[in-house]
Amino acid sequence: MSANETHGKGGSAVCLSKESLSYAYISALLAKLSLNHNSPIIDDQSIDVTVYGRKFSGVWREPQLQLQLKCTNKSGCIDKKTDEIIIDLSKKNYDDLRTFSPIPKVLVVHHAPSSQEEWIKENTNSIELMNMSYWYILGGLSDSDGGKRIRIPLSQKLDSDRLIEMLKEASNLIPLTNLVLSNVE
Amino acid sequence: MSNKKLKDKVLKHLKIMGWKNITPESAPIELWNHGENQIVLPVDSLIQHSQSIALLEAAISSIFEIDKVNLNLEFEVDRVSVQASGQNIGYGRIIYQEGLKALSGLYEIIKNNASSNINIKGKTKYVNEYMSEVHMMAPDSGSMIYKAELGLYEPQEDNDNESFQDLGSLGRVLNSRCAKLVLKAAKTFESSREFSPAELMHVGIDIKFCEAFVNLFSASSETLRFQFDWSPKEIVSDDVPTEVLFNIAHKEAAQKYVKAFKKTESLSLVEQPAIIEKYSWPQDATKGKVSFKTSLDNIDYSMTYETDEILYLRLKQEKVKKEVALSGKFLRTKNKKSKLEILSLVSIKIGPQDTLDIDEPDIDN
Repeated sequence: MSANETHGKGGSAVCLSKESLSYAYISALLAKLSLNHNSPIIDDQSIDVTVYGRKFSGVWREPQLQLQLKCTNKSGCIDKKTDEIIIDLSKKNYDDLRTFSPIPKVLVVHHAPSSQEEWIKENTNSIELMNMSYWYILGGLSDSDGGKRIRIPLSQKLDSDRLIEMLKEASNLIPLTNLVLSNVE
Repeated sequence: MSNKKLKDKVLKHLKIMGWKNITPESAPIELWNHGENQIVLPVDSLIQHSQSIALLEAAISSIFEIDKVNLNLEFEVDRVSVQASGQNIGYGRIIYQEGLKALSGLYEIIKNNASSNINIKGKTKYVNEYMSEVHMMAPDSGSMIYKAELGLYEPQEDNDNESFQDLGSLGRVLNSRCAKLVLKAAKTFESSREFSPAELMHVGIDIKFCEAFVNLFSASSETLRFQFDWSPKEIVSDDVPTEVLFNIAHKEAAQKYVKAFKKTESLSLVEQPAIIEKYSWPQDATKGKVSFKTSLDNIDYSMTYETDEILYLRLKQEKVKKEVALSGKFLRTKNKKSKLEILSLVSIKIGPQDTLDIDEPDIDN
């Protein structure tokens, strides 16, 4: 089953399944790190998951992060020349994520294999979730007339170390920043 | 309720309960700590942000868990809380005897206020009914906080009294007058001028208030903070305070006035012979002054009576040295400089068939 298929084996839309894959990736990291989370019943603020830390040593003892989850398996979503993953955001998502907010907001883009069959590798004793999620901070970016194409350096992998670092920065009220700036077209 | 109002409500609570704002400069959130607990609020500049309502709701929920106070309740009664702070006061812990005296002091202030403000037929009944709607609340920690709910008491329908009907509930009238009296006491006690007992009584501060205040301001306390939360059920006028602060200097002044009051006696005199001594109307004053000379128990006294323009001009038709007879309430001070002061006059008899009845306004509340 390729990226062009609209519905999966179970009959549901692939776009919904991509959300599940992205959420599964984050859930696995949260489980590994023993982080609490919840999801809004209605995502009208471009937020899919709120992550809660506990007993952090910074001034904010229970820091939070709000994550907007996206998933792409489009061909060409990885620019191999620049080592970036490309995602198109709606104007609403872009504006919601770029405005200054009390709780830090993070765009998380999951890169899924083009074939849905390959999203999960099932082994005898384990399953493997393919591929990686990448994070990006839009806070402070300029206004836009329409949607925006975001290019995220592949160096901004979202793994458990990075997630915990982001929470530490939030705990110390350090504004989250990208490793490489100006990746907006 | 707007986010701003909600935040104000939360902040008011946090301050009363002794939470500390530890927010670093230019942070996007406000952090308030109390021991191991922390509450997060949106900063004012982001109060309208979509995340802010969730932060405020979480704060209210935390306050309910930690402080056992439900800020979501739209309260239907007025509330007063008095926070006593001082180095010798623990977190919600005070010497038992002091705590009891303080609670009694607050009770006396509330009850005496009701008693002195109801001057209508059936006074005792109304005071009792009002007091039955005043509830003592469990003290709170955050230094030591005494709390009471002051009901918005409405007299039963079987009475014909309409005295208070235009002012809202009788309960609100009394509650707001109590708050104003406390504010007046703060201003009076911090004044560099020394007031005579009669002058204090004219503004509603009597020995009962001073004694109750001294009891409330217990020995371990260094400051007292009165906080009045007015129920949104009735409109509250702008001159009614929400917060009044006292320090040790206020307490010392109150103690001094208690001593002064103890050297006085209140007298009700009927047709006490007196001589008009002097008339004066100080520049920019709103009242005129009439001085009388009288003799009581073989001691001569000079007294001054302040009055409005109508009575002043009527009295002024009488010549100085004219003999009159005064009926009313007087306060005699028994110290080295014995003094007799007029508290209130009911009538002035200026001739065998000529008596001026005086309808004294209520004490200035």
